[in-house]
Amino acid sequence: MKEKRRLRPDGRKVQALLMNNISFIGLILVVVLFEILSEGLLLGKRNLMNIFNNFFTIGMISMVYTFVLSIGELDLSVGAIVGFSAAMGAFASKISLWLILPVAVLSGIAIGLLNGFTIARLRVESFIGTLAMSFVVRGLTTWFLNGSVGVPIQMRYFDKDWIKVTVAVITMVILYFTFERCSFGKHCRAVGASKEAARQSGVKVESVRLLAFTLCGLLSGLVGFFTLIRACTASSNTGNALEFDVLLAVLFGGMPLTGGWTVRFRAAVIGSLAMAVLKSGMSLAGIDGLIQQVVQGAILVIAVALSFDRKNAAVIK
Amino acid sequence: MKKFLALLLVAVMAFGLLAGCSNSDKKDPDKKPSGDAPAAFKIGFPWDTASTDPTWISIHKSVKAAVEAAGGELITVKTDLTADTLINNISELISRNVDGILFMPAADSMLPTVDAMCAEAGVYWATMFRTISDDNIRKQVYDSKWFAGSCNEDDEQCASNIVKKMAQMGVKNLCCINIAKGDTSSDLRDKGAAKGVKEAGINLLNTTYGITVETDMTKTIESYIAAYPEMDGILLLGTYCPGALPTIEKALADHGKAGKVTVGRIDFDATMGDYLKDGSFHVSYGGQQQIDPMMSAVILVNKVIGTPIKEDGPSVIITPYLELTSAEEAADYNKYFLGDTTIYNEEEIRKLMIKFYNKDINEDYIYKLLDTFSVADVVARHSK
Repeated sequence: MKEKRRLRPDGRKVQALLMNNISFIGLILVVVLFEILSEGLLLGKRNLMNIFNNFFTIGMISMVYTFVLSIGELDLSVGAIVGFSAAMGAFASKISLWLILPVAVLSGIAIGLLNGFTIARLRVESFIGTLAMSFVVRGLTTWFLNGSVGVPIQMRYFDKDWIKVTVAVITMVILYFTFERCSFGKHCRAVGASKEAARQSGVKVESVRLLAFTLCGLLSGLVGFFTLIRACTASSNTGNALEFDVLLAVLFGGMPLTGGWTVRFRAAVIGSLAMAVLKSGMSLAGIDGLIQQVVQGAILVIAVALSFDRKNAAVIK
Repeated sequence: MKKFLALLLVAVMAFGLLAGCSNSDKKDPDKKPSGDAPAAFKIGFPWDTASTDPTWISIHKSVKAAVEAAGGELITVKTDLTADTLINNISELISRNVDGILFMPAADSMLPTVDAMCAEAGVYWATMFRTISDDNIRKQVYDSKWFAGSCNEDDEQCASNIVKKMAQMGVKNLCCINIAKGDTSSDLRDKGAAKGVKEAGINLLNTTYGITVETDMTKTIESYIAAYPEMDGILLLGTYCPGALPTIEKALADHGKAGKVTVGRIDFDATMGDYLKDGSFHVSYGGQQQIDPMMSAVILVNKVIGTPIKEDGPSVIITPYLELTSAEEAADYNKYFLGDTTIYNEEEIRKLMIKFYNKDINEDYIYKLLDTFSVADVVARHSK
C-alpha cells in the first residue's frame, strides 16, 4: 500500500512534466518524423534556410502575439497590416529607398494604434474589431495599389540570411525580456487574468491594451518590410491569411487562448518553429495539398485540446 | 527535462545538417544532350494541389505529362499563387536541386527576383499563362540566360473578341467579373473588354474583382440584377471562384433571368455543357488552360535537356483561344480535355514537342502544331 501511495504522486509528476513540455516534444516528433519521411532533406543546409524563412514571418508576429494573447485578446488583422505596410513601403520606394523601412513600420504602428484605440477605448471586442480592421486595411491596400507595385531588385540585399537571423534574434531577446522581466509583460498577463484585479492593483488597463496592439502593429510593419523586399513586390494578396498561420503556430506551441499568467513566451517560438518545420516537411515528403490542410486542422484540434486552460476558460473573447 | 529536450533537438538538427551538406553544384547552361534518352532531370512546379477543380487538376496533369514524356521527374509544391508564397516555393524547389522551375507569376514585379534566385542557383525557369506587361522587366527577363520562355494566350484579343461576339448575340448592356486588379491576365482582359465594348458600341455597366467564394458570386449577381435592370449580358472575364458558372446560373434562375441574360465566359469549365443545352449559357472562349501549361513545360524541358526550341533567347509562344458554343463541344471538352488522358499523350509529346526526339522542332513547327489544335483535333487523335 505504501509503495502504491508513493507511486501515484510520481505518476502525476511525470504526467505534469510531459504536459508542461508537450510543445517541445511535439516539435522534436515533427522534426524526427519529417527528417525520416523526406529522406534527410528536411534538415539539409539549404532547406534549413527555407525553414528559417518560413519561421521568420510567422515567428516574428507570433512572438509579439504573445502580448495580445496574454491580455486575453486576438488580433485578426496582422496579415492585412503586413500587406498594407508592404504596399506603403513600395510606394515610399518611389520617393527614396531609405523611406521603405520607416514607412512600412510606421504604417504598421498606425494600424496597431487604431486597433488598440478601437478595442481599449471604444470597447469593441478584439475578435470583431480586428476582423473589421482587416477588411478596412485590405480594402485600402487593394485601392491604393490598384494592382501590384514593385521595388528595385537591389532591395533584395536586405533579404540576406544573416540580416534576418540578426533581426529575429534581437527581436526575440527584446520581446522575451519585455514579456518575462519588465513590468509591461507582467501587466499584460495581469490584465489577461483579471482586468478588474489589475485595475485595483494600479495597472493602467486601457494603456496596456493599447500598447499591446500597437506593438503587434509595429512588428507586423517590420514583417511587411521583409516580405516586400523578399518578393520585391507588394500586391493586394501580400500577407494573405497570415493571421491563421500565426494563430495555428501559437496554439501548436501550447499558448492558451484565455490569456493571463499561463501564457508562456516560449510557446510562440516553439510553435512557430514547429509550424515552419511542419510546412516544409509536408512539402518535402510530397504530401498532397488537401492532406496538408487535413493535417494542419487535426494538429490545431489536438493542440487546443491539450493546451486549453479549462480552469480559466470562462470566456474566450 | 527542457535542457535534455533542447539538446536532443540540437543533435537531430546537427545530424541533419551534416547529412544534407552534399549537393549544391551549379548546372552547366550550355550542356548538350547525348545518348538515346535525355539525362535524368527534375522540374519544380508550385501549384495549388489542394484544389479539386477539374481544370486545375488538368493543368497539373498537362505539366506532368510534358515532363515525364522526356523522362523527367515533376516535383510539385503547394502554393496559394501569391507573390510572397511563390518566392518561398521557388526557394524550396532550388534547395531540392531541381533543374528547372515552371510557375504562374502573380505579378511582373516579382520576376527579377525569381531570375536573381534562379541565376544564383543555376536553375532554368519558365512561366505559364501570363505575359510580361512591364517593358523594363520584360527586357531584363528576356536577356537572362536562365529564362527558358513562356506560353500564354492573347488575353486582350480574346476579351475583345468575346465581347464583340456577345454584342453580335444581342447584348447591349454588359456586366463583367474579373480575377483581380494587378493580375496580369486580369488587367489585359479588362483592357480587351474595354476595347471590345468601344468597338461594338455597347455599354459596360460594371466590373467586379477578386471573387473567390460562391456566396460572394451570388451577391454580386444579385446586386447586378437589382442595380441594373437593363443588364442583358454577364461576362466572366476570369475568376478563381470554384463553381462560378453554376453559381451565376442559379442566381439568375432565382430571379427569373435565366436564358434572358446572355452569359459568356473566358476559360472553359466542366459545367458549361448543361447550361449550353438549356440555353442559359451562350459562349465560352478557352482551351488554353491545358495547352498553355503543357507548352510552357515543353519549352522548359527542352531547355533543361539541352535542346532548346529556340537557340538564342527565350521561346515565347502565344496560343490561340478556342470558341465553344454547343453542348456537344462541351461534352467533348469534358471527356478529352479534363479526362484521364491529356490533350497530347506522352508519345505524341515526345514526337511533336521534344526536340531531342524530333530535330525539326523550332518555333515555326510549334506554331503550325498549334494551328491544328482544337477540340475536334483532340477528339480525332484520342477517340480511336
